[in-house]
Amino acid sequence: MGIASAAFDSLWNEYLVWSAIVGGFTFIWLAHHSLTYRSKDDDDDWVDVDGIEVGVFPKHNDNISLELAWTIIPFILIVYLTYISWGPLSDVWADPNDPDSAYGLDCTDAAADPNKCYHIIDITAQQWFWSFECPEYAGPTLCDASEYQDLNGTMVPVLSLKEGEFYLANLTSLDVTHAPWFVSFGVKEDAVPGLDTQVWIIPTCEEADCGGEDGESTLLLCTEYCGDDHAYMAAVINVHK
Amino acid sequence: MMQQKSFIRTLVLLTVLGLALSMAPKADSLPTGINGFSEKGCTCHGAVPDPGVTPSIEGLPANFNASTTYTLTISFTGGPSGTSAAPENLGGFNLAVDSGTLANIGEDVQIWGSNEAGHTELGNDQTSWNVDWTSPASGSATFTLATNSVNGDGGASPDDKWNMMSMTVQGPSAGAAAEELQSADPFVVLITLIIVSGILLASVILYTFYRVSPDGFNWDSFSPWIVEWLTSTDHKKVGTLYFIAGFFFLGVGGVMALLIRIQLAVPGNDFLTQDQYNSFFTMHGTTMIFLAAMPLINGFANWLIPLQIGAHDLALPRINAMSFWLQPFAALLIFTGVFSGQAADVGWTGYAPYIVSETAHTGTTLWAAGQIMLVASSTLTGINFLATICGMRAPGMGWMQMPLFTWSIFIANLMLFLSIPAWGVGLIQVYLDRTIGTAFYHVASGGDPLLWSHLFWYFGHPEVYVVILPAFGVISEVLATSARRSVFGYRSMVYAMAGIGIVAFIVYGHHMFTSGMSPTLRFVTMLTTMLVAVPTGIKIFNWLKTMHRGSLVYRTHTLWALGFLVTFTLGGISGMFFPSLAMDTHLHETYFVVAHFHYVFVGGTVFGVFCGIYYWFPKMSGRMMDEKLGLLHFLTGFISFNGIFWPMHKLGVLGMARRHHTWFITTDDFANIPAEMASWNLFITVSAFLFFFSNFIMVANMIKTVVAGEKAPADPWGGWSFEWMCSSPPPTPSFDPHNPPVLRDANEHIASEPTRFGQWFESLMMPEDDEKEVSH
Amino acid sequence: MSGDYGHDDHGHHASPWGPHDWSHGAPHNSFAPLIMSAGFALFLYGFANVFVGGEVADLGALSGVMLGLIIVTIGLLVWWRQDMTFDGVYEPKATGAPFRNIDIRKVSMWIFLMSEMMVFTSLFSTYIRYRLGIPNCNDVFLSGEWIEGTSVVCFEPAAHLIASSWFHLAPGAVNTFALIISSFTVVLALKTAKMSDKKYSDKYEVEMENVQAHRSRKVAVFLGATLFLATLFLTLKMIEWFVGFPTPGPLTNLNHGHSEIASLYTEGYRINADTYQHYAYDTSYHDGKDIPPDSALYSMMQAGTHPGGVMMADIRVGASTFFVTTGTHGVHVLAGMIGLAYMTLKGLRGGWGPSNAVTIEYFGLYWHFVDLVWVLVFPFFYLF
Repeated sequence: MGIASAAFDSLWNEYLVWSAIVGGFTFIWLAHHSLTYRSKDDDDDWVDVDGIEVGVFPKHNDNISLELAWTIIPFILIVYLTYISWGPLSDVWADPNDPDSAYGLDCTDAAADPNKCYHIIDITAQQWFWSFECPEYAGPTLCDASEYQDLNGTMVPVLSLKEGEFYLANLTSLDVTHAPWFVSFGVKEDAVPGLDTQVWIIPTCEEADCGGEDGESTLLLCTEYCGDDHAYMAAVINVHK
Repeated sequence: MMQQKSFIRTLVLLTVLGLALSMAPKADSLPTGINGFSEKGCTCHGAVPDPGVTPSIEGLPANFNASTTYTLTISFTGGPSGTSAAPENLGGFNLAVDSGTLANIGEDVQIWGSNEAGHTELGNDQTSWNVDWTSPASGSATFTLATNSVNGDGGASPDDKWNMMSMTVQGPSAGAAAEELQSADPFVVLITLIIVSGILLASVILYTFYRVSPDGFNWDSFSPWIVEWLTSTDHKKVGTLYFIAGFFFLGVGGVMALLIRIQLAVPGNDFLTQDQYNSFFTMHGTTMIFLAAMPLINGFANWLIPLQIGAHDLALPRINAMSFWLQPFAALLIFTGVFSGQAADVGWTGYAPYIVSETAHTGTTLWAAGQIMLVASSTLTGINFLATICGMRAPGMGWMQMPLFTWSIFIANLMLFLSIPAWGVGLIQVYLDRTIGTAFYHVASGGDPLLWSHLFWYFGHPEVYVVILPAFGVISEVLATSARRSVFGYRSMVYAMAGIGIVAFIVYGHHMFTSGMSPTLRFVTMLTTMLVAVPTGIKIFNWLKTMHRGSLVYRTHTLWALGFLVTFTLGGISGMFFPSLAMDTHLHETYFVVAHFHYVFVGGTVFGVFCGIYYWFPKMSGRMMDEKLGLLHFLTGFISFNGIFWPMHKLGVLGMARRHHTWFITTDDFANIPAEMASWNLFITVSAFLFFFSNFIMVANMIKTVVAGEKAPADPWGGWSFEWMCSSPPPTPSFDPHNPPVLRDANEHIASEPTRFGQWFESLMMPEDDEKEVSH
Repeated sequence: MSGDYGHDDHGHHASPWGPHDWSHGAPHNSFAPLIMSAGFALFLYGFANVFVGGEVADLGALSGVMLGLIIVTIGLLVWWRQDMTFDGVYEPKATGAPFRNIDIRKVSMWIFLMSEMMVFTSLFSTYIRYRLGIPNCNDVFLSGEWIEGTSVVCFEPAAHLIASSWFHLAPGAVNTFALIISSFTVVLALKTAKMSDKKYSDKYEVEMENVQAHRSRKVAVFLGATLFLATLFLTLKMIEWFVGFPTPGPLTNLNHGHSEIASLYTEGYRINADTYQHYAYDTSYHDGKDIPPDSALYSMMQAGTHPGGVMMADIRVGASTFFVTTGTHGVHVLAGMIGLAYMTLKGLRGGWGPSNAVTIEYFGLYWHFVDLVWVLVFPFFYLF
């Protein structure tokens, strides 16, 4: 799949199943009716049950229990889908000041649990490049943004992150709205000028050994349209053990 | 004999058209030129050129000799590299030349194509480079050079500066150079195609005029004819004008889609520059929604609403003409930028603050101006249709006896009309920001980018339903008539549409799930968005049930209606993925979204429009359409449509972002879209071409029908509503205003009697003394 | 389908330039929509060329703006020419519930006002968002969180300037009354126009055969009065925005001793005011007596941690909301004035009577709406 976000994957799979059920049900119904009830020729055994005549509002063709059924059953399905979508929200919007959240507290906080804490990265967006700033205490394995790499002719920054750590990115923009999309982690959030936004990053790898020595590299793309070089406003995200 | 004559005439017409076509590419209307050169060397070192850096090119003569190789030395002075201690990472360059060929001498320079050069990673440590240039045989050469001066820290930092220069060198026979046809610039292609379409349209109009009355083919009878069309306030004529405008812009928007698809067919393509690409997707979206879909819907509404409710015309005929005529002029303003090479490049959403920033193209101002006119047009249309439907229904037609198409137009216009002022105000703010310099969206002065998003989506989301509801109406009419049943659950259909209309106003936040809007608002709109599925589901199931125990007559419009059911259901299901917030953080602004909204816009609205065309064209033109051509159109169109948009779902999930000039396949250095999956892009492009051209089958069918179709009876399909009562084509005015038709009801109740609430409301509207005064 | 309603059946070939024979039904062809649309487009095009990014880019394009307006006017004249003969003969009534027997035009006007309400709602939303979202200049000043010579972003309500001298309030206050009275004169015009021949003849002792002309002239007087009040409104607005006015001699004392009331423009309240300064934000003004002792600035000044001086502010957003909201209202008044000019002219030509008095009523609906909006704009932008 290439998308290594647990929240996304579980939701995606569940939704796919339900889509297949709803779609399959509808299409089988559609195929059956459009074949079964087709007119054999222009004047077959058709009986005008509804009184269709020009200038006459035809007889109502309804069945209140059926109509209620396909109001209520989809509604129940919707409630269920809402319910399963609700859960991951606590991961998407974890409160940075809540020690009981999935990511704990800032690692520099004296009260933080060293096994469950997050590191703060600052991401600054500008037409048309990204700047990353790692926390001061971070060594090259935990967070590093000093490298650059060639991406089809454009030099883009490389952000190296460690698998299994939690990161909270503070997003700022110096000119127009941008949005970093961590393609393989399934998250994005707008960097809006004049507004502080945050996004949680939980680096994951597709392979068990996380690409070995070099780590796994995926892309960060800009997904809020920002002008000429929008498509080339990218970065490489390197994840290693 | 007659036939041969008409054959010759057609031949002559085609020759004239061919000549016009061959002339058209010379229509070069790009006075200001296009800043399409690449700045690949500079993009990572600041947005604005810095005058402290001085680029230079040495080794060029004042006049070059034909086909000679010169060694050029590129260098720069100034900037932070001079003060850098480290001997590495000092600078870079990008050189583009419009003629001749460039070649590298050493490893420090790389060449893209033959007319663009830049430094390699090795060359990154230098401040001067050498490159070979072989001059062309004649003409002149313009060099554009950009150099970076960097501070040696190995990364992009705000200290880094860059600047650009350009110089032109004349060749041996500069004065007498033969005029050369420029290589196909996509803008020229687009402009040419627009002009050609205009010529074609004019020719079709002329041809129609000629065929209608061959003897009257002279100016004396032509001028009143054209004046009639320019000034008509008749709802049927204005409706036809809407159709012509709508189809014209559907074609123009389609051409832009094709150019976008050519660019995206292979990775790293440079068919369009970033600038052009950005303008094209902006213009594509704007054109398709506001200049194609809305006019086509208005075409149907104009034609059919008075006919369906038994009114002689719309409530305000001149206002109706005004609504129409605002549109072509608005289109002119919106397209002004295209003709100067500076078309709006802000996306159809025009997000602030980019829309007011100086980096956005100058055409953006007029793009906003044109849309202000469209807002005015939509407001007038809304007033007109609401007043017509509220007040001009024939006797016997209560609210619950209106045809479903009329209901859909009523609810769509109510939504549009209540939501569009918000966007209109937003556009005026943007227009004033860009002209007289107000500061609504200037972040430095405290402007709020999210305010624009709110104003836009408060309108933008209802707008989405505004274009889909009329398609619902069309499908309801067509399916019921084709199945020879009355539509299943008429009342729940109406309530479902009304439900969609109400919910439309409280769901718009789902477009802003990643915008930094307050989490509470995001959560609330997540819940409400989920709810949209319920009324939509009711409609789909009701349509399916309508066919039950029916007798489905397969006509072209039946096929399109069934096709609509397939594509719209798919679009509806993919729509359910977005309100799930944790999933939307991945799917937002990807090709998955592109796939979804094309499934509902094209698979919904456009299929609905096609369906309606095949259904009502006999009524409008008085001639039956060709069913065989219709079948061919459906098969090619339906299959190629799915070929375009189905693969986009997967591409989006894998990492193909929307509005991107290119996409990246997985390489040794990084993972993005797997190469085998990415090759679907070429398939999509091919399908896009097929879909585009398949629609000409319908255009041909329409022309053929008007010219030589079989005469249509008043009610060819067996529908019940009033439009099938008048002859095909209907007379003017359609019904006698003093003696309107009366609707009978096959059900046993008298629904036209107002409820007690209705009576109370009516007594409010008409004070008694007032009545007396008027009756004098 | 033939009858006496179709103008085509009678060989009735009216010109699309008007005038229209209304006894034959709905309006016939008209060039007005085409002309007016072209004019609007030209106007917007010219305007966008004159001003770019807050600078005057090409003054020559002003001719395009003017030409656009002229073309719109021509279109409007064509439209009016077709309507001038309207005497209430063709007044379609709604047939469907719940609007039965109500003029279609009335229904349309109410629907139109619904969308107008949305326009002003959006403008007020913008205002409220910025008013509440951007710190108020006075609060920023008193917080002491500024240094002289550097602009701070803050929201300066026009009301603050206006309240700084009660004379500033005069144009706004007079305008409020002008608009309210003008709503009344419109009602008088309607009442007069609706009066039946007999009643009018009895009341004003006019010969029956002269009633129509006499009554219509009287209507024109009331409409003219409305037009005058609307003109007064816009004139005072322009004075308040751009011109300013002298203080009558003995009252100078009430205006801080200044002999002239400066316009908002000369006070520096402009859409491009990113270095706005005002005496109210000067710590030395009144020797600092205006700074309340419980404010942070006061404590800082006492402690000597704040150097004082004049606060410089970027008030572009506040000024933009003020000028655009009141300006939009002004445009609505202007549109009403154009309508009033036509209606007055029609009255002078003897065009108003009971049969078509409803037109005045429908105009009145619009005019009352504009009045109502002012009643909301005034407290939000002038008082609060």
